[in-house]
Amino acid sequence: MKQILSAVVVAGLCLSSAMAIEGTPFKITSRLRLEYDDNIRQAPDTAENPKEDSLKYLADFELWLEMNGPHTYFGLRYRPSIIYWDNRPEDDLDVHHDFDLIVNHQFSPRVSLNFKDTFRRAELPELIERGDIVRERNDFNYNSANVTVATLVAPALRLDLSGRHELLRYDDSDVASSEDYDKLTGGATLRQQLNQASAVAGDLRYAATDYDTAEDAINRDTQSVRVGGTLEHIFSPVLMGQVSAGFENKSFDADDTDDESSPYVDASLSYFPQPDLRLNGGASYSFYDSGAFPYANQTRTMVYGALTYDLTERLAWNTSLSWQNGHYKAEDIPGDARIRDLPPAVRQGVPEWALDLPASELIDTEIGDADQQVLSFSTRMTFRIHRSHWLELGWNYNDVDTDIGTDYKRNRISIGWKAQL
Amino acid sequence: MNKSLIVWGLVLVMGVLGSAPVGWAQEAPQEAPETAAQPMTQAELARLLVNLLGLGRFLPAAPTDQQCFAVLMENNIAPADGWQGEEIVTRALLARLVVQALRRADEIENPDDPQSWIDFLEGLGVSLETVEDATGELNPMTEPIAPNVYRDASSTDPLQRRDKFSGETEVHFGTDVGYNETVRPLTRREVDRILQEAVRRREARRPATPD
Repeated sequence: MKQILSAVVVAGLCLSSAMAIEGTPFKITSRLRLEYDDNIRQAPDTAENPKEDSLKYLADFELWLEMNGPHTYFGLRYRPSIIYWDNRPEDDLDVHHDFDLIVNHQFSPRVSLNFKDTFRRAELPELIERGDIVRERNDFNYNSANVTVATLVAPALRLDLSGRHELLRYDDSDVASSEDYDKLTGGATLRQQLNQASAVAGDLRYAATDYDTAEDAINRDTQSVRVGGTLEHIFSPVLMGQVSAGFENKSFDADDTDDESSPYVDASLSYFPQPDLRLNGGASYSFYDSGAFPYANQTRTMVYGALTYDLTERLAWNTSLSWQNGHYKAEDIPGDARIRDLPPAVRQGVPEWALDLPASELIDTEIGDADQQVLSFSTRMTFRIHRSHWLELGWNYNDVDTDIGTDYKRNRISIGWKAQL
Repeated sequence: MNKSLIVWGLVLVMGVLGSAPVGWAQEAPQEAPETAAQPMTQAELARLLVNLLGLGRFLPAAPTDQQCFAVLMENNIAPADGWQGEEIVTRALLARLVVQALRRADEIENPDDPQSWIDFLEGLGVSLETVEDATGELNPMTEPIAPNVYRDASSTDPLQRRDKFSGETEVHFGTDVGYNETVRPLTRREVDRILQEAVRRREARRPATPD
């Protein structure tokens, strides 16, 4: 059924692209890739759990609808991606959907309304080992809706009042019962442009995360308040940077779980030493939503960098690298959790009789703490064969070292063709 | 749901109230023609280009000028002497930026001569009479360069940060990243299943008792 649906989508998009008429508000781009994936199940490659590889055929189509008026801009992007796996018998087809919507309206020279919505529908199959399902399907829907009212209070002073709602919904009810959430964020930013090169801002944020769990389940809901500032500076025509820093306090709904506070810092730099070379990098340290049941919080450190180099007029080279560490503390486990609820690798060494004790017993020991490190490297060469056609060669490498899931390394190598129709 | 409605309502009401002292509601109808006649600044043009080129999805809902300049520069769209937000847009600058946005800068014979950019654009039949005329031919870029995935994941701002991406098909700074592969930890049912399976395998491997 899914194959038929995909065939219909592909045929429809090909047909619509062939019918694309200049002057219409629709724009279409397609991208086709053949990829070799050396670890399709994200396995640790041990004797018990070896890696499996597969060829994949990936087709992305990007459809744009946009309208730009004197005071209003409307842009809608839809990108379905179809992935056919040559060697994944239990489920050989994934279909992802991306929607991005932007609406900007200028009420007056001083006041504007900006709305942005990001929707992702992603599929990740169940993990099957020796014929048994050990991890359920990871298919999910994610949506983030942001609205900001920006008001020019004075010629160089801008007040942004913002709200955001995020939701995550997994298809599988067992996964959903611990991972689904709604997040609500409100914030105000008062930004003063000091001169042509510099601006400072004061930031205030309130965020509430509400996990969609059963009443008797472990309560991971949190609220946080953040106060800080941002400095933006253009150092020269080819170098610009931004740094934000402040303080965050997070409180937990669960009984017996104390509030936590932490400073945060977030910096990024863009450097364009010559027109054909662009560099970008950043680093951050802060609290972050957990992402790992039953923890209700993590402290994340992340560093990333990226480079684009136009080797010739037709040949471009892009590379990016990121490293992150998520640190989970026993103190961040809600009071109603048991040691049994912790990931097996975390509670390793705890005797069977102790598994039903409260997880709070682990505070001040090192047993309840966990780390997850992820290293990701990607590179791609793109050759422009025509104004609207490109050939590309890419490599992506991921190395996950975690106490809360499965360690693995994965390489993906692809060759592809891209066209703007 | 109620909380959502309250926050959205507050944002809108406060925004409107916040603007009330400057009297936009009364001024708006009269300001429109005046605004149209006013020269455009580089910051305003950058914002327009970000929208037309489909780069807005990589930025916060209401980006700052510098964020707009950075994402344009990452795609090789910049004045010869860099972005200066308050400077007025000239015909030559407009021509240069539009040609860059069309990805045809390599066809300019003499890039140091501002007139070359104007001549080239007019040679394509693009009018430079108004900004709207000049930018009318621009389309969303094919896979623009932007550090969106890692920057959004790295951001400390709860209004911007994001940890969910589209699996293996999100593009970051011109590369295919696999950010989403930070595997979700197992649920309790999954752990129970693994343990049961491990016990079953161990029993299956147990050697037979010798006679």
